[in-house]
Amino acid sequence: MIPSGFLFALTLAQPWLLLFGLAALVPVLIHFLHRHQHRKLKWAATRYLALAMEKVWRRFSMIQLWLLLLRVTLLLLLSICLATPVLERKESWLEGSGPGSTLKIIAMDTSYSMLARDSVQAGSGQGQDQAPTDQQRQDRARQLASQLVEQSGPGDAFLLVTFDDRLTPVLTAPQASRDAVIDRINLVSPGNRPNQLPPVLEALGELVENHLSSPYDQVELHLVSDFAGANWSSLQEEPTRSAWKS
Amino acid sequence: MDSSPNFLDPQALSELKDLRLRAAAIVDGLVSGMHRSPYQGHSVEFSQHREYVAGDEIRHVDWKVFARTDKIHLKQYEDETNLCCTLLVDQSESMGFAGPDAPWNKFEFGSCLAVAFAWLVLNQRDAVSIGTFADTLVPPARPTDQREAIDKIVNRLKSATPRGSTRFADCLNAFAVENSRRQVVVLISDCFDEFDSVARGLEALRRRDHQVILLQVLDRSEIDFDFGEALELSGMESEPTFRVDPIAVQQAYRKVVEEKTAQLSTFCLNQQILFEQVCTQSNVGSVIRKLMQRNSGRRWMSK
Repeated sequence: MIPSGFLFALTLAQPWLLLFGLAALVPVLIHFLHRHQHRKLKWAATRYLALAMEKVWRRFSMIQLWLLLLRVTLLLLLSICLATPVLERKESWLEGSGPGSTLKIIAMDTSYSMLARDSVQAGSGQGQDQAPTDQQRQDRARQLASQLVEQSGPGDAFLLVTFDDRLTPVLTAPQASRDAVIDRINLVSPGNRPNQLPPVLEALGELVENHLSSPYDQVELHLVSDFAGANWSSLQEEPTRSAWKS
Repeated sequence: MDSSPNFLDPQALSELKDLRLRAAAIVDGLVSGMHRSPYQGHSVEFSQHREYVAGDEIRHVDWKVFARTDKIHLKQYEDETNLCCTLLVDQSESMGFAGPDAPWNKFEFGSCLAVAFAWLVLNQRDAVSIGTFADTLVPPARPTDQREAIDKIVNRLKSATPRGSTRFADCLNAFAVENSRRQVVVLISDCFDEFDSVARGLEALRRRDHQVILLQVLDRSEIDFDFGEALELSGMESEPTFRVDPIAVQQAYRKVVEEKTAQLSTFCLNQQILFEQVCTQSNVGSVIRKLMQRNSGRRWMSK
């Protein structure tokens, strides 16, 4: 029994062999060429012939058409068989887990330090000196996350989580709609909690591991953070290391 | 070199030596021959006695009967007359058809058949004439029993070219109107006209009490429709063009030919017309021999 939420996707192992389907044009061409290759002959008994044609013409035309359809269909089926179709079971296929798709887990830092303002160089530069502007880190984080979503491939899906001293899921199921993901990103706002990276990374490791068996070809983890107050030495502690190794 | 067909093919005609065409029914004639006439004439064949009426010639009185009965009776004799046979050959365009393997076209075959009949008739000192028809009738010449007439018949057929459409009813009506004297009419045609037209033409001949022999001449391919490749058949006599796959049509075509032949054959049987369908690949002599044998029981033909 097929569990709900699962769909089947037909993929081709050798899609270029579908070009063999062009051979289906051959019977069509033969059909039309054949109509022009008649031996010409004078005929006296046209009265008899006309009566005979009346009887068989409709049936004969239908047989010809069916034969043509059969020949074309057989060649098309042959080309599909040559292309080696593979039937795959996909979970939430409609949500974007097509062939070559990636699940991108975006983890946004919502610690108190993200409310800080930094001086950043505005514009693209191009040799011109421009005045620096103040921007909250959280805005910069939203921009980066939104860019990541916008620049993703067509089959990609997203998971959104926030973290400070713990991990908080925002989008619990993979979401393929970019607009919906960006909307959720824009709603992310920092709190007043500190940043504790080791337990967060440990939780993210588990999250990635949980989605490794999903139908996506690969799982990417993107951390968007100022890493303020992060104690990198704590990452050398044994539970965190083992989580990341897995 | 003359490539035209030899209508007097000796092999074909030699097969007819033992056949004799007769008018067993009462056929009018002018010259004494082998066929009984309805008119009482002068011959050695006694017919009947008749009572004398004023004006009769005395020399026909049977004096022996007068001596026995004391009544004046005249002796009457059967007059013997010759058969008058008219050959009508269809000269329409469709008769110019020859199949891929046919040695000659239908008109050439029909001409050979007509000459064979003429030879047969002349050989028994009967009179023969020949006419052709298509959309109009080319009237037959005056019947003659001269042996030289065969040359005229041959030349007339050699000079004819198949053309025009077939108008059976009009042509045979015209013949019937112009030829009220009873005779044997041999019709040689493919009968490719509407059945009603053919029927009306034949009925016109029968109304004049002509004895009719109808020989439907067809090519082998017109009977079998045995072709192996796709064909574009352009109709003769201004008829349409058909593109056909012979294998698909063959069965239905043969059935149509059978039905049409049966229809014509039944009509001829009802009209007491001798009908035979002949193929251009057949031997002329054999065709006539078969015709005679098949109808040997009929009164106006015998061996």
